[in-house]
Amino acid sequence: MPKSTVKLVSREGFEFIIDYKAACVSNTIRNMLSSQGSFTETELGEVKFPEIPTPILEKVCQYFYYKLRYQNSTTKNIPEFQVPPEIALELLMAANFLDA
Amino acid sequence: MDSKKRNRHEQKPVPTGEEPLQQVPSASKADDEQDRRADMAKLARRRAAHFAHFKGDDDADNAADNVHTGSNEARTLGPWSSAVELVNARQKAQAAREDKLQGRAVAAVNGEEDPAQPVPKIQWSPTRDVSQGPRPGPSAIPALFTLCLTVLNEYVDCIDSLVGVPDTIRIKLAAFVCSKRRMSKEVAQLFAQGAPAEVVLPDCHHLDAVSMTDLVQECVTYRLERLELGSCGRGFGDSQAQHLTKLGTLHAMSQLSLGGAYRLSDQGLEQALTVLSALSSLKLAQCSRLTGSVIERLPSLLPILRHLDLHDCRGIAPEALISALPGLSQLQDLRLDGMHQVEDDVMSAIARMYSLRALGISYTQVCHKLYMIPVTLFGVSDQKFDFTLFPTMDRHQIIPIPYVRTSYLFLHNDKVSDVGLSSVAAGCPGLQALYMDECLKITDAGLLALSSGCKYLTVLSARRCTKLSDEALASVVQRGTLQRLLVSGVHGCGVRTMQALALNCKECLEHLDVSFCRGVTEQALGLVADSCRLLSNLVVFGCSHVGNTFLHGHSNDRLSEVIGIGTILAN
Repeated sequence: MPKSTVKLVSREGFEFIIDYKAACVSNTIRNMLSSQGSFTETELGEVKFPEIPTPILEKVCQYFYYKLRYQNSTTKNIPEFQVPPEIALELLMAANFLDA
Repeated sequence: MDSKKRNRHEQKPVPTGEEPLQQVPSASKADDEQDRRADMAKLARRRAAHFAHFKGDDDADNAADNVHTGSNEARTLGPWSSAVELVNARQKAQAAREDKLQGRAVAAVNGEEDPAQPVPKIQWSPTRDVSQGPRPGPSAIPALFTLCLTVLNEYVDCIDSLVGVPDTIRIKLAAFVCSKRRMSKEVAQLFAQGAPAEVVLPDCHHLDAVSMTDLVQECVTYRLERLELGSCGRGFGDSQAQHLTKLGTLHAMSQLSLGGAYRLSDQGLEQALTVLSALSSLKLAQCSRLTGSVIERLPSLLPILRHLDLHDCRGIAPEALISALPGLSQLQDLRLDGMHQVEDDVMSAIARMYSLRALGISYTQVCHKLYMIPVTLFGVSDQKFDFTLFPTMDRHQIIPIPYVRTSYLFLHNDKVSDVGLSSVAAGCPGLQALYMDECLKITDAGLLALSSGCKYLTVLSARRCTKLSDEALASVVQRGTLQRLLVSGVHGCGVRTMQALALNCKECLEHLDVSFCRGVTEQALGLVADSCRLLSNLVVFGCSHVGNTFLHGHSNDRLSEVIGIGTILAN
């Protein structure tokens, strides 16, 4: 039974509590949370990412909310999502894993 | 022109005292006029020969009315007059064309055409409120992966190293950087560091010999499984191929692709292949210095080779191919596109390869002389496939060969005719994909044979085969297995084919290309879009009659991208 919020845990143990809908922007998380089998994630509503560092996971959560907010917006001036170049490579790997 | 002027002066009547002076200028003016007309007529005749060469796609009966040939007057009046006439007649000709198509389309909608074969009526009205406007785009927001790729591409010079990045991501990043033209020597080195298992660089034209040597030395390790260097000719020569051998036999290496290695010669390649005995896929596109000697040794060098792509290697002697190809017993996929030396004898050698599944011989001589031949042999091993056994047979026929496992056929030529196609259809019942673009001689008979022979056809590409008609296409479609149908430029394609698609290919059709088929109405397209729920790609270049009624009125959510709307046939 889908809860309204989901907890994402980074490599260092930081917990990010975000909306269920925001987390479902990522296909990987959506599959983990809505799977038919009994994953611990489904029951507790918590997903651990031991390979994703904290600043990267924070940026990922910002992207989830950005996408949720502007997905169906038809305005012309959608602000750009800034990706600082220093974290771009690790963010790329995280995005590849999360399928976002 | 000077000689003509001299002639004119010689022919001009010498004025004597008796003739009134006024006659002389008028006589010369008439002469001038005559000569100028003659000159212009000669010029027009010369130029007209260029325009009068038909490929046979226009209807023969309409040749007289064809505005592009101009009338008889135009020839004598000169090129300017014919040009003006063309401009004036263009509008009229376009209107006449529209009427013809609309007449046909209207008749199709009303079912008025041939009482013997009633054209099906397409009753379709928009199933979605057209006034709602266009669907929301697939995503105005790019994926996070794409965003990161863009940023990385901008700062690619500042990347220190890619150690720790998995190979799949490296490949995607390399492809993106190459497509944005930011690949350079230093950047290429990044992708080779860290002993990756796969090094795929689609564009290596920046690398000269020295940097290519560095790259090869860096990436050749015992872990290397796949090495693909596109457009590498500038840097990749024999010495670089020699560097591949420095570690001895590379057991893990299974795929090698050297695109455009025009400096690679036989000796260099042979040296490299001696250490790569575990190769299963070898692609040597456009390596023009290769002659037969290394190809002859291929069966012994690479015993388990499964994919061989030698397209555009024009230096390879056909004798080498004949002797080597049957020896590659595990070969499943062979591409010899663009090699003009491939002829009948090479085809008979290919016919002896049992396990071949895919064959590409586009743009080769074989297509001009022999039409397509399906692969493999009759099941009996001592029967040689030899054209001399059939001395009376017209070489322009194809012998149907049973037990064929050909899955893909590429035919791009204008000499393949129905005979060839029906033989192929009879001989390759397992055919899955047929690409016969621009085979101008194929008519309905060939297609009907195809529909009866090949039951598993999933891809049919018959672009610009202008002689095909609606009924024949509909009969192929009725098999119900088509996933991709490309009939761009086939003017005959119309409402009946679309209806057959909507009825039979509901669960399989994914890609449809009906560019320049002006007989396909909006209603027909709407019916197809609503019935085939898997349809995700629709290409309609040049179909200016398809408008918002279809675009906003169909209710297929997967069909997010309709390519080509808004392009019109040039006036």
